Amino acid sequence: MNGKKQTGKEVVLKINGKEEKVFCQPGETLLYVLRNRLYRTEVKEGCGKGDCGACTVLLDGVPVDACLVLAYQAEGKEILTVKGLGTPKNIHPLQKIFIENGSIQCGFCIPGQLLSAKALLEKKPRPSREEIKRAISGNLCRCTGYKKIIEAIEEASEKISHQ
Amino acid sequence: MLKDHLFPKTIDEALTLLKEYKGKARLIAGGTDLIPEIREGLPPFEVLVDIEKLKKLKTIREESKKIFIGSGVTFTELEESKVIRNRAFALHQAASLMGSPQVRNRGTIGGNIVSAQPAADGALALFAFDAVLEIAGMRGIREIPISQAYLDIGKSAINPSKEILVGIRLNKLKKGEGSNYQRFAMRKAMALPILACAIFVQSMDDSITSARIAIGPVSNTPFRARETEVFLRGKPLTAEIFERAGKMASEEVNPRDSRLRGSRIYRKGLAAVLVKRGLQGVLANIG
Amino acid sequence: MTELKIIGKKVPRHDAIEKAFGLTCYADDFFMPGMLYGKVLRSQYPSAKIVSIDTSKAVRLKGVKAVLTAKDVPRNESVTRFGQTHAMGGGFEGLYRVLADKKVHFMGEAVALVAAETEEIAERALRMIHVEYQPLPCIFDPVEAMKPDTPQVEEGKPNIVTHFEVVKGEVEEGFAEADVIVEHTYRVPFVDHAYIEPESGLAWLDESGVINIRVSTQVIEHFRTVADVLDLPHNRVRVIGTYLGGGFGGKEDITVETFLALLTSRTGRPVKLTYTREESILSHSKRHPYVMIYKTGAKRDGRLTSLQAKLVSDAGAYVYLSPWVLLYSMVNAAGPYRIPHVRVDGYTVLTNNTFTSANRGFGAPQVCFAYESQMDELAKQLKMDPVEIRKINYLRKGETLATGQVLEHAVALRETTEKAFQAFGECTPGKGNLKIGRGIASGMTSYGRMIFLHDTSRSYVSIELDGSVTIRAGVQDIGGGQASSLCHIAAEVLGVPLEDIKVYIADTALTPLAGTTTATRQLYMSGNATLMAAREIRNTLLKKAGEMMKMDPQRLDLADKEVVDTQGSGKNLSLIDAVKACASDGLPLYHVGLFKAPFRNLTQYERIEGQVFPDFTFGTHAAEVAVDEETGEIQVLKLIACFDVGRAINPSSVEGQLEGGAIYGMGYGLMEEVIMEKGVTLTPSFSEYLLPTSMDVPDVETILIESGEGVGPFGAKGVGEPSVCSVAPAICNAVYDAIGVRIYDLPLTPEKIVKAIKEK
Repeated sequence: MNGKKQTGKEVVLKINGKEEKVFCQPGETLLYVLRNRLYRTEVKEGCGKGDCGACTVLLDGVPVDACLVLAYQAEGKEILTVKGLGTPKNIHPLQKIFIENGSIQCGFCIPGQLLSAKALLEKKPRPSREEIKRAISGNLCRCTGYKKIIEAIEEASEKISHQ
Repeated sequence: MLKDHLFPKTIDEALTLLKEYKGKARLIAGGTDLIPEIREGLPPFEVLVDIEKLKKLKTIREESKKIFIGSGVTFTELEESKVIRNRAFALHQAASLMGSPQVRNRGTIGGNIVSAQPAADGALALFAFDAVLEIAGMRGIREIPISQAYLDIGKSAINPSKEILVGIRLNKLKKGEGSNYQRFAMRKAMALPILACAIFVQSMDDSITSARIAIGPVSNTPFRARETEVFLRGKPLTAEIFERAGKMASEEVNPRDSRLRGSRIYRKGLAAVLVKRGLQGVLANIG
Repeated sequence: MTELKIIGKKVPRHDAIEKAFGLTCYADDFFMPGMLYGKVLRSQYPSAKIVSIDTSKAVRLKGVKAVLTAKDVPRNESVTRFGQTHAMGGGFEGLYRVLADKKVHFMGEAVALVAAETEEIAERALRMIHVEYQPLPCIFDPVEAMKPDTPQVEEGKPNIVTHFEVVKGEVEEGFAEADVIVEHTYRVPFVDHAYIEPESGLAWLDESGVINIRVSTQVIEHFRTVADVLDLPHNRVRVIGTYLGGGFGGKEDITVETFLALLTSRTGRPVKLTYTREESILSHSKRHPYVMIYKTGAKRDGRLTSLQAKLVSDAGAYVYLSPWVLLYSMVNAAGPYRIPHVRVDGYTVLTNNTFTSANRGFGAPQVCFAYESQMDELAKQLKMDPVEIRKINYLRKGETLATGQVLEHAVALRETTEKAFQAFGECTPGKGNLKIGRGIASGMTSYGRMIFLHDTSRSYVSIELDGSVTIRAGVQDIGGGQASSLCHIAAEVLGVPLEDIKVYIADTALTPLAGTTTATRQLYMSGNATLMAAREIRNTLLKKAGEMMKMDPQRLDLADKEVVDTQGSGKNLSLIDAVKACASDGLPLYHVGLFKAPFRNLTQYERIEGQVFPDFTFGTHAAEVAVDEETGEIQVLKLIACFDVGRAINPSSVEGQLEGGAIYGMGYGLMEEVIMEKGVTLTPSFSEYLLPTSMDVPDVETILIESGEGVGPFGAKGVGEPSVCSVAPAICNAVYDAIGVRIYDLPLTPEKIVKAIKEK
């Protein structure tokens, strides 16, 4: 017996509306826990320190880099990943338009882009192009040049606000 | 290695925990500066004391002559606050320009100050407003002007293992007062500034009664261009004066050559331009 | 020609659908029971002798299952290959060393490997490996490195890896004839591919001991090298390529494959290795920096007379694709212009910098920056319009490049320039310190590999009994729709809707090899292979249908899952009935299309002559910029890309490539540089290495021209790389127009602008 107290605790994370209990260590990021403990690989890692936005999730409706949130800090908050945005059976207009508009190339940045877009449209249903650009300015894309992503968000804002 | 991450329910509880852990605990709020450090394995602390959820630190309130900003206010909250926009415009600008939306949603003004970086946007604006910091420690509350909070790069006068920055107070802008923030970076989002400056001007009858100019990063701590501030006293708010002020500021600052940020000469030149433009911006929104 | 049903229509890609739902699994998204985590120990010096490596402490750390160094690698040294089946000579195979052995040659070179139960344990183990280094002299400047008395990067080998020349006519004669001559030296920096997905893979031993490697890669054919390194037969290493989160040439070389194979082989357990971003920037290949000394002469009427260029590229510490990239530069160095006298000397030189290799454009963007800047400089001297001087000199179809390569297919340069220029519209007004300028630049970029590589591609297409279609192809999908375009082609030929087509890609055990996803070749090569295969099946079906319908197969077509009579008799037959009839007669309903690119053998590599590439894509970029004279900030207001794409198989995809390529090129022009000082990378993460964000981009307008003369399926040309090359010079030319100063080295940083204005 070395008398060391075991570190870590069970954290309750509410993801896409469902509560999941997962054992975490202090200092582990939400990104790490989502991917490696809960196998929620739809949340991507591009840089690990908030420079690229690939790991963007919504925390209580607000876009954050999951690599800059500790798992302990996410307890008690609503987490939304791209799988909570929409599914093949229940597609979100943003997803539909991204697909149809050719906004997706390698796709690695897309979960983050979609969630930043969703948060924007919730806050501002008819954003200007500048507002759209600003909303996704923390989501780096190396493939598309952003044009078709911006267009898709614009189109989605029109469709959604008419619903 | 981190052993625990605790969530005190009050400021006093947080202070008690810090005391208990005798310097081995460290405060965390948003964590946007601290979490990358944890990833690098850098910090020597063992316990995190999390004050992100403390409501008392999350207010922005107008007092009779001042504005109080809780240290836990995020940059997004600062940016969206009408009070800040109307009464402390340079801070609104600075908050809206730093980082990315994701980082602004988590990063707090308190964390920004305590990280003691000379390029920190929020802090620069607060320097121009000569903000006063309210700090809670085991011995009670103390107040220090922000100019005394920076000891060196990364070294704050506020020890996050012992004390809590509760909030920031700055004077509400009155008639004849204006502020502006100018920032230059290599791209339009998610970029550390090559140079930034925050300006506060007090004027009466079209002439400057006092000015404060904070520039960074040009030294280890945010830099006040005091000679330029003195020069501006009593001068009219004209383009020619702004130009001269810019040149003076350019001579005052002493950045080093940086392979990443640019040469000394270039950055001195930028200082002239940004101070000039900042003064023009102030003129445009003087109350 | 009958109207096409799917080709040319904007259709959603199948992979886009999965990606929008977060369902696509990239390399790091896979987990296996018992999986270990791999980590790489990297060199602390750009050049040093390894005196000793002590792994004893690391080995004893609880949870560590393997610690490997060079002595543990069965064959630590071999050659780099990219699908070539025979030894090329001419410097085309470079040394491939798995782990540093006696020396380290660049900062970040792999020295040791660890596999452990957790990432954290693996990282701790790395810190416990004690390497004793003895620093050695280094060389970082490729021009210096060419001199005889400089330190040798690789013992016993000269620093100059390769020298190529292009000679046409007699340049001195040409300069004597010239009325104006412009001479400048151009420099371009190290840049990073910066794919958002870092390098990653997972390897395991299956039940028969075969090494399986699932990896984000552009080249599954590296299974051969991995097998050689492990001293295994080729058929006992399997590489499965995942959908990449970007490649751009950075995942063209072996990245994690060999490390994974070694670790899984040693431990007997699955091993995952994913690079951190810092590790990726530090240690994977970079785009070649070039020093380009150009001298161009022209007559008063604008006709070019002579071009002389000396190119020196920094190969970094290992050869990899440096000679290949240089060869591309050689062919492209004179640009798409008619020049009677040309001499180009190209060198690629080893240094102790990070090794350089493929990056989108592969040697073409570098020289395009030089030759298109030169064109504008000539225009200035001659007081001619930059568009006019180009139109006078553009090559036409049937004419030859300086190397003697005949341009056998459409050369739409004039049209692309006219259309790009027209699309400018009204000029944005300047204001105060903001000066507005406009510039154009044209580019020619090859698609398809160099023809002496005997390039081939295979695609297996089959139609199932229920009429659904399966494609199996070794195609690696880097995000440009490489996989989905095969489906479009099959859908077109077989008259089956896209939803009924399933493509399986990139598995060396199960899919016919399609060759590398590089050189903008997949649509051309695998598209054609798929076309061939689909047509075979189509012919079989129509022949049988003709028998069943008692009609001449020539008048039949496949559309909407039916065999229809194109001559309007109204008779038709369901596709499934035709399929079943073929199956029952034992007729094959599958085919492996083998497409061979035309090839010729080069007998010597010193002087580049004759046909080298199958074809080129021509295009022009037009840029409008606003330059802040006080701060030097450059904002691109408009960026127009006009390209002859041959045929747009999926216009959405083609536009996407042009839009993305424009920003990739804009980053190269304005803000990207891997700053290496004495071999040390000063831009280690995305905080320092800056890519354009959404707020930095102009609206990119794309104008497609379809000459129909590409050598790809349905007359398509490739656009992945061509979309990048002429962006930086267009911006540079626009900056000149705005402020009257020219910058000769990329990126065009604000500081350079301010300095140049001051010096004017």
